[in-house]
Amino acid sequence: MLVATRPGAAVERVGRRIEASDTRVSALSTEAALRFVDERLSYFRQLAFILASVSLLTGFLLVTTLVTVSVNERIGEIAVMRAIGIARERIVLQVMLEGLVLSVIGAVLGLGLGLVTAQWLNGILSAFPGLPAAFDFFRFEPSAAVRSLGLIIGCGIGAGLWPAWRATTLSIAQTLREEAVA
Amino acid sequence: MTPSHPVLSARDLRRAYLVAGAPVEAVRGLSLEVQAGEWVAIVGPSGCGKSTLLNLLGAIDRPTSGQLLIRGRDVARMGDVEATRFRLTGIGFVFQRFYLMPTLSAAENVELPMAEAKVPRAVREARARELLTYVGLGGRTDHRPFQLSGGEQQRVAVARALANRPALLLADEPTGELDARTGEEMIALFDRLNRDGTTIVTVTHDEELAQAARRVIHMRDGVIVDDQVRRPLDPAPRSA
Repeated sequence: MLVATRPGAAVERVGRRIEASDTRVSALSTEAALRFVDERLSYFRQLAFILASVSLLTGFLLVTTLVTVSVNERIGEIAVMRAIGIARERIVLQVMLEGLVLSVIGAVLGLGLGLVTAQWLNGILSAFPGLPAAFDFFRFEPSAAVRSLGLIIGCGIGAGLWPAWRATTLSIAQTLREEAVA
Repeated sequence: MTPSHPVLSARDLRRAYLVAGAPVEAVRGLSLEVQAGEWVAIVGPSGCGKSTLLNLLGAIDRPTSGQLLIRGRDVARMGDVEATRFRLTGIGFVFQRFYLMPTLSAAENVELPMAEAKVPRAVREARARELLTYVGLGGRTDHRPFQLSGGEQQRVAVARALANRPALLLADEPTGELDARTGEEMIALFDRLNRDGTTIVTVTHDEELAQAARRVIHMRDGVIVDDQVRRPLDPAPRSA
């Protein structure tokens, strides 16, 4: 039941009077209701933050591993590049670019998959009885997507740092010797 | 560059490694001079220091002591950036395993050192075509390494090594991964390169390759034990 008050009325006091008039009724102002919903949703936000952080860390480690494996597989090739005079910076750039491209591809695929999954879940959850017609559990926010993309790009660059450092600090002569023996 | 001009001059070159905490000398007080237009084959048993010497000559490793001048420049004292630049423009490398970039075409592989040296695109494309034609791959410029045989890949590697017109071509076992017939073709290519004026230093176990060189240096335990000139320099080699 919705009760409208006159502008400037003490809403909380009206609520207490309603509750006092009938003990079976609990009154909630719109502000309090929103606060209540917000508190409940904050758990979901915290959960989403934890899940996103774990996903980001996993993605970061995965990209680092993939780029490290890729560098290890091409270690002879990289040593030869250095031997023929390709500058360290170019090799660093190439390795870091590799991490960045992997991350951006992952981000774009993840965003698409996330949107589809969110829409699907929203369809299921919104169909629960008793919910307002226009109620959405998931909403796409472009600013959040841009922030996430920025974070992923940062992680992609970070993920390439270690393999890039490894690729450029290798001893050319020793690597070529080991490759020849292998 | 005229003949009988030293391209390379090494004096009392030493290179020691720490093995289990103790220094082991792979190259022990070696002195060597290579004239422009020479083709030197360095031979010797495994572990005698051939490859270490080649790495020192190519500025990819630093001597523990001694002096190494290439075209008058003291390579041993170069910093990393200077040595990298020097390798790019002054030295051509051919390795046993061709190490071409698998995602690039033959022409793009040849263009790679030129692109790094900031050679304009049109110039490097023309040079890559010219070099690939020289090594007999004029019709395979757009092929990727996996579409080429081992011998063809090594030819591309030779063309890549010559891209920036280096003063010195260094080859570490260039026939090591090739069958006998392809190895002979590679030797013929090196011979042609040398006759056209390229100064070559090869490290090899291949007796035929060593026999084809103008000068053969035998190494043992990090020192030169024999140095024979088999064929004198041509009076006026063409420019490679």
